[in-house]
Amino acid sequence: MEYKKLTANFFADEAGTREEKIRSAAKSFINLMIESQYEEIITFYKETKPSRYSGQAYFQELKIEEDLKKSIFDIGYNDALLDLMQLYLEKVSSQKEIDGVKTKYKDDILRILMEKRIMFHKDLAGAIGVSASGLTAVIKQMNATSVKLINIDKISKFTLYSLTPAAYQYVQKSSVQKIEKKKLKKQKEQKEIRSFGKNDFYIEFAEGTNRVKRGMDYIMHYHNSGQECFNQYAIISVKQIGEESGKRKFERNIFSNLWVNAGSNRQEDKELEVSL
Amino acid sequence: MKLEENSSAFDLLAFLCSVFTKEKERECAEMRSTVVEETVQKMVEQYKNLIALVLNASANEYRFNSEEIQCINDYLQKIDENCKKNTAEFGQLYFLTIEIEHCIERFANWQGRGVVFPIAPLNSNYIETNIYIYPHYPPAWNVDKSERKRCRTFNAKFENHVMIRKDDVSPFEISMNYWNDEGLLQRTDNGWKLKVALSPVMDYAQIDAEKVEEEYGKSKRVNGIKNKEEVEERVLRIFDAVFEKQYGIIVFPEMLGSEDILEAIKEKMRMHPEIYSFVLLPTICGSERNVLVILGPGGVELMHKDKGTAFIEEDEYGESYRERLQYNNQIELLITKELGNIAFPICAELLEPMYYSKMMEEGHADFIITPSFSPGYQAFIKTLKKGEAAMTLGLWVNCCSAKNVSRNGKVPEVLAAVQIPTNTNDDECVQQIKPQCDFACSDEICYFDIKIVYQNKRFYVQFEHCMCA
Repeated sequence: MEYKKLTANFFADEAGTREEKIRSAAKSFINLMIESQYEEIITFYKETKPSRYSGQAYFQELKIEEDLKKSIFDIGYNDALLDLMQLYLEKVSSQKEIDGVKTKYKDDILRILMEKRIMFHKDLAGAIGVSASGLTAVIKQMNATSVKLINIDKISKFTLYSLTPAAYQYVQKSSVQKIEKKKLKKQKEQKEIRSFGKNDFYIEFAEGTNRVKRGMDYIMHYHNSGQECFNQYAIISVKQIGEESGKRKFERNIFSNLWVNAGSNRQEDKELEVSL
Repeated sequence: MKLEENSSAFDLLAFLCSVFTKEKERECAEMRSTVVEETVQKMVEQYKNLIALVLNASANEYRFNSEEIQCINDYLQKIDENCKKNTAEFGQLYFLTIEIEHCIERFANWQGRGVVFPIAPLNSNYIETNIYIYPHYPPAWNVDKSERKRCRTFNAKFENHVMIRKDDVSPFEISMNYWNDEGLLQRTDNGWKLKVALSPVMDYAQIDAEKVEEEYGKSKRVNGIKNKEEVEERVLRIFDAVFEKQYGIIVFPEMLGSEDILEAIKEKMRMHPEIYSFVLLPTICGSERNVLVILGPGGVELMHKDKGTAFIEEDEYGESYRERLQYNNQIELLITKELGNIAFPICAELLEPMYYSKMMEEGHADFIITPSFSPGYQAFIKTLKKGEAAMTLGLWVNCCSAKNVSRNGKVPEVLAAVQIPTNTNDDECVQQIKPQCDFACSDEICYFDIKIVYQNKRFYVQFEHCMCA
């Protein structure tokens, strides 16, 4: 985000513009703080700190007694501190209240209303798989905290639901956080790949390893559930590796894993191993 | 109709409201109650993108960028054309207006203005549209059964704001102030408590008033108090006794005030900003003004209010005199997060039907506090009772010294009242508080200790007359 536009200039800006900039800066800062966006805050600070110099220069020009200047400065400082606390508490308490809503349908309802904007009662009930009366109880639960999540609009004999602004911001933030997490994860993976300096062969190896792991998960599942045909599934998984030379090694690995984990001493297992 | 550059969602909302005449607003509200599913479905589909634009703007303090404005103006143009062709389209526009209001959170731009400040309309186009949009917090009691919910108006459906038409307020003007804090109510399980002190002060204050003969009639100029020192000493003694007990609201009657009382009480409150009290000082009369000063925690001046409605008094010869007051047509309200909109009509203002109705209907007052100096009380009780249908709260305090302007020379039978929204037919809506002192003014102090309790959606009022510090 471009933070320079939030930098107040006490000489150049009109009072209204300056006020808007400072107010927006306070909100932006609190949002960054809540999301622990350390790097962004560094950028934010660097880009907005010229306003500090502008403010000080302006103050120096004021033709009033020093004591009075100090008092005015302290009042502003104190007020800003309390404002930031209040902003922070509003944001965090809103988040906590919403997080604390105890219904398993919360996320689904928020997601669906985010997408559809406004829905009829019966349509929303159908979308989340509850009865009409069930939905009424769920909505009541969702609106039971001090932060109302769902607007309820009665038109004629119909009830329409939409997200409140607080819920909208919550969902948006969660979606943004999910996208950010995915991005970070991808960046991390790419970084790891780059830091190895490996080539396509490594990537293929890593993908193969993933497949092997998945295959082992399948096998463990079938073995633990006592199904007779688990060894067939073992062979299928081995085929997925694609490298003939690795096959036998992998199969031995699977069986020894099974014996270690499940304590298998079944004759069939031993015979199969021998045959391989 | 179109939005200009830098317009906000509030401007859009005001624009949409301004499209409706009052007749159309009412007609659409009625249509809405019988609309069919297909029409509602159509409305939802038609306007969901516009609603999305408003929701998205929340990240930018509800300001639209130029692309969004272009998009919205296209929508508005279509709406305009449709409304001209087919008046049934107004119904859809009505729906859209309400949905847009629901998308806009309440006043989020309070930063950097201090703890109490006057607040301009949230829409910058109020001159163009003659519509004022203000934030509104519902009071901390259930108002689902309020008659306001049955009104055929936008305000009955709006969640976070009130919409005021400038023409509706005339001949008055609404002036809003915002208190950016909470702490008057003591929260309990399933409810809250509010401690109130109402003081009739004393029965021996002498008003300094002179009769004036004018071309158009007779008037009375109130210059203050004759026995000023006695009154000041009494008021300050009472204040010292009640302030330490940490009442949420302390109310003195009309006319007994002075600048010295104001400064002394401020001084005391400044030393204890941790005590969360609203203090309605006795009004200060002089220079043809009757001024109510309301102080908040730390002695902060929450509001200065000039009385605008004169009393009419009849002397022993049957001659009528009107209180001489400078012209004032402001209805001042305080927007609060706990008690909704608080109004402070002074004495005769509460009894003026037009003032009362503008205060309630346009100002959307949820809590009324009235200081008085009146030989009569019945008109006040009847007026307070009107608040029951709207489910408001009300406080009224009178002064025993009104006996000195009364024709029968007696202290009024009722000195204070508390109006609560009632839940059953048996509940008394207005609790009338009568003198408990056998009309012998206590040497020490005099006030009514009142506890308003809201528990499990019911109100309870307890009071006690305190005559000792």
